[in-house]
Amino acid sequence: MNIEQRNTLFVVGLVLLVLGSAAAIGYFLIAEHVERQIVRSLDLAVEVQAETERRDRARLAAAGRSLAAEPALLAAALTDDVPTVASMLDDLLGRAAVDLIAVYIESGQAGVGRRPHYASPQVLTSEPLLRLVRGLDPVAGEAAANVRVFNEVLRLVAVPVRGPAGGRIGVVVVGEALDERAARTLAAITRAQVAIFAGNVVLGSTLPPAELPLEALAAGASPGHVRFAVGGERYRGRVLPLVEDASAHLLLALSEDAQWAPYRELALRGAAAAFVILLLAAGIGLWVSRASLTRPLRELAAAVRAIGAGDLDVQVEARRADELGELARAFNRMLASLASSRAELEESRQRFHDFAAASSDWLWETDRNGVFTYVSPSVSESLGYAAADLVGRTLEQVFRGDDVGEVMAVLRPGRTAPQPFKDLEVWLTSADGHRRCLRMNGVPVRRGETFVGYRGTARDITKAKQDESRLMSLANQDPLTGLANRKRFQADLAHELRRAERTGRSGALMLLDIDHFKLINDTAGHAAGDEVIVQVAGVLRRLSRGEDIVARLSGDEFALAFAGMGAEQAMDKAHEILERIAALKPMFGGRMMSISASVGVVLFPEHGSEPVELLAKADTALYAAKDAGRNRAHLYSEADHARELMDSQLTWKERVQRALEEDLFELVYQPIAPAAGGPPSRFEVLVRMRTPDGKRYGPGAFIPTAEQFGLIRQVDRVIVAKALARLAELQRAGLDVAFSINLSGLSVGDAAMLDFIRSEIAAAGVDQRRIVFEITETAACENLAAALDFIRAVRQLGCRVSLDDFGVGFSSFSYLRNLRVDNIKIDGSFIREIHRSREDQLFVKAIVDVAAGMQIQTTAEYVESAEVLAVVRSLGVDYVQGYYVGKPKPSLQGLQPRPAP
Amino acid sequence: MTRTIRTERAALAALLLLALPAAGAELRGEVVLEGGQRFGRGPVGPGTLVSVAAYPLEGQPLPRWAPRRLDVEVRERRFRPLYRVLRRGDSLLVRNRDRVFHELFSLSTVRPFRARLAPRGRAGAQARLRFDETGTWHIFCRIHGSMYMRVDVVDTPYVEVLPGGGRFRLTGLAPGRWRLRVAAVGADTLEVEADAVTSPPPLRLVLRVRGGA
Repeated sequence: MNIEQRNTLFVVGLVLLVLGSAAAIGYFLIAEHVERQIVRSLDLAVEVQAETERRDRARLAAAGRSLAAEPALLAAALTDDVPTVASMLDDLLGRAAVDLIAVYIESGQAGVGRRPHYASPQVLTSEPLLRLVRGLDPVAGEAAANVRVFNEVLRLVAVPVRGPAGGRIGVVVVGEALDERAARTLAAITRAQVAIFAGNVVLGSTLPPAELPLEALAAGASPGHVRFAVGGERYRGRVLPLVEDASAHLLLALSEDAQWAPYRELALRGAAAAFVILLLAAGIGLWVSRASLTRPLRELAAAVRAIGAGDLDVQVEARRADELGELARAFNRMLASLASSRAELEESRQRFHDFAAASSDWLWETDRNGVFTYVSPSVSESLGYAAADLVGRTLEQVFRGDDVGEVMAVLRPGRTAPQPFKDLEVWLTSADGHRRCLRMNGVPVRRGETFVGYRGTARDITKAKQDESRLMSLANQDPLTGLANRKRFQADLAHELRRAERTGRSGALMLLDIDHFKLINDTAGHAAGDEVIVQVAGVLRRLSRGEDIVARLSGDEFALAFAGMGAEQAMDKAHEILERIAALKPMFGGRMMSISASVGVVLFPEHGSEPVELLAKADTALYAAKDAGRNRAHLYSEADHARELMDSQLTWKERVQRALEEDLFELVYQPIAPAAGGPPSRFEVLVRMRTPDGKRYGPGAFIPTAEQFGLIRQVDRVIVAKALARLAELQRAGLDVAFSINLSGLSVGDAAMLDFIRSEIAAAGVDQRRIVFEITETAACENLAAALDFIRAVRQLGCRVSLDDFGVGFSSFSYLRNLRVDNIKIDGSFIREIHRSREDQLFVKAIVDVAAGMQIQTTAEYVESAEVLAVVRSLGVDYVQGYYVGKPKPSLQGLQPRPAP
Repeated sequence: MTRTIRTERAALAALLLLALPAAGAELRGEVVLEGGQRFGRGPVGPGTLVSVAAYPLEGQPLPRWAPRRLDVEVRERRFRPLYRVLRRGDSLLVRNRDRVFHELFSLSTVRPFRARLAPRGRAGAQARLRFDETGTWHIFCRIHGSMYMRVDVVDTPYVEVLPGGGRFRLTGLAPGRWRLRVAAVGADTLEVEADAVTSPPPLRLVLRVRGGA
């Protein structure tokens, strides 16, 4: 059933309800009215009947008196002859218009009626008549009564007949029959149905006598009210006794049906009118519903179908001012918005397509089982497979020989909640058989709450991986010997120390220095020196076990860490090494060379558990060995070196504290210039500490102590405050200059330092863009999270950040990706000999390429000669710093006035 | 009421009669009964008895007449007949054929009378009434109001009773002028004058009857 039919039905139902209610109310009102009307009419009929009875009796009495005064009656009476009287009465009977005239005279009764029945002696001598005559008052006069004579009921009036002398000479009784005629007369007067009945004999009736329930009616005479039905018609009536002994009754009845008849007529007309109203209501309901609701809705539905078919140009007529008009307008607005959205969507789709096609990355989408549902075409560039080869298959199915378990575990999360993933790397074998590394990022796709798969990007990072791998090995390996370098050694040593601490296993650390190595270099040349280095390295490698650590720390300095070794074993091992080195006897220039080395030995954890500490002690032991004449091993002795240690550290602590208290820190400025040439654009702020005796010390002398004793933050603040004040001066002097300020690792993680910087910048009023904070790679990597926060905060201030000593740290490149720095300063160890070292050049070139790719500028320090400058410039380094460019000085050299804005 | 009608035609007839020798003169004509004007001029019942009597106006001698006795019955409380025309000296014998009493009385300007008739078969069931004066008697029963009869007593032998009206012929009259008296129950008595001649032209007498007969 549609809305139209429902509305119509509703209207019809409503009208039906109203009509039905009106009909019901009308029915009850009319029923009450009819009831009252019938009762009132019956009451009236009874009153009229009573009045009629009185009048009839009065009329009879008048007739009787007329008869009694008739001379003829007198004359007849005087004959005292009954037949004569009777004959006289026959004459009178017609005139008096009565049914019975009876005259009783002194000589005896005399009765006459033209109807033989009345004239019979039985009538005249009947008890009711005689009682009436006898009951006549002798003086006053008249008596009236209804009497039953046999099966007749008569209304009788007795009137005295008086003689000429005034005496009563007889009685005239006049009467009329209460019969059919009387019933009809009474019915005409009372407007009711009338029945006169005695026992089971109906004397007169306007209703069919045979159908009258006489017994019930007679029984109803006592309450007087009766209800009955005749010929299927319902009646209400009153039953009244007609004679004294209640042997005859009068029924006055009204037809209930007749009373209802006009209302039935009315009801019929009402029903007809209601039917017409219903039809009208249905028609109007249908029309209104169609005009106001269903037609607009159909138009809307047609529009929706058209939209469903893709036609967004449809418009719905919206001239109406009502809610449907508003709906149509809203619909049209929605259509316009939809069309606009579709255009945007199409544009977006095209944009996506273009990106996907143009990007070297490829885009992918999987279902919840890890099966590719979409792969962008650029996949073929890296993997050699067409996108179609991947769609419908999983990585496992395409790359059967490759380990894709981790990726598949992510892409097919099973019961675990799918999570976004980032930088997930997987090695795959491309169609042409090459190994390719992909870095995949992905986010779970949900429809509502349901996980339906992943989508994301994949980048071929094989090249970067290879570069990184090479850099990693360069960074951690000594290129000459293939041994670990200092950084790697420190890391491995730290690892070993932690393990030793954990397992309780002791070990030994040895520092080995080739005796008079400078002499070898100077006499036999660098190649010979390198050869010696290589051979010594070979000895050390051969004498070490797989778990031992062997490293070349610097030119001729080696370090070894042996796990699970006591003092005695260590010394044995050291002597074995020294013997083997002495046995090398390399040949250079036709000369056999004799080489030896010195070894310092410390034990861990006996002599310390920190690499720096152990190395320092090993260094002490080494120098003890050298002091003792070289070509020997010396086991570190705690007692021997306590004084030196204490001297160096405590002295420096006091010096730093004093310098802080007495403002003995001074700043010097070393220029940083563009590698391409030109005046310095920036100066690195370096600190010098004066001592009361007038000596000046560089940061290397006191910074470690300041760090160790927690004074470094204060030192940093002094430096920052002084540098900013100076910068402000220069700025006010109109000089175009920027400062690089070093911050220690402890300050980098310090929120209070940030606040300090912020307030100092504000206080000094310097242009924050002219400030570069340098933090060491090591400091940044020790607490990466804090470094990230710090770098972000500093950059937000508008300052820039430079990563210092880049290249010596562990996994430098992997951190570079995370640290948003503006500049990296390549560690001087890669620069100092770069004009001679192919490896250093490779390394620096790699750093410069990577940094350029990340829009990071590079600075080379320790540029101390024109050759070095030429090399670093050719490698693409942006800025240079070093003695060749300018030494650190309290004044700023080569400053250019700021160009006019 | 007596009216004298003199018409040209009657005068002409009289002249003719005078010219002729006196022989058996007569009066003839027709009595037409006519219903009353007020309640309609309908036909009058055929049983209505109409009397036509002629009186001499010019002293013409009347022959002598012997007294007669006429009968009237009372049956079923009705006089039968209910109109009698007597010549002076005639008597009327009233017989009661009913089984009840009748108490007769008369209304008359001449000499009223009363008489009781006993029921049939009993003594006094008839009464003989002699009428020696001329005039009209209306006779009723005191007991039975519907009983009525009329008796006219005339002083001439020339009288004729016509049932329902119609032609009359009074013959043997002495020529000369006569007065015709026409009467009936319920009718105004009509008196006209006419000349009795031999073969007179017939008269047309219209008698108005009230209430029919």
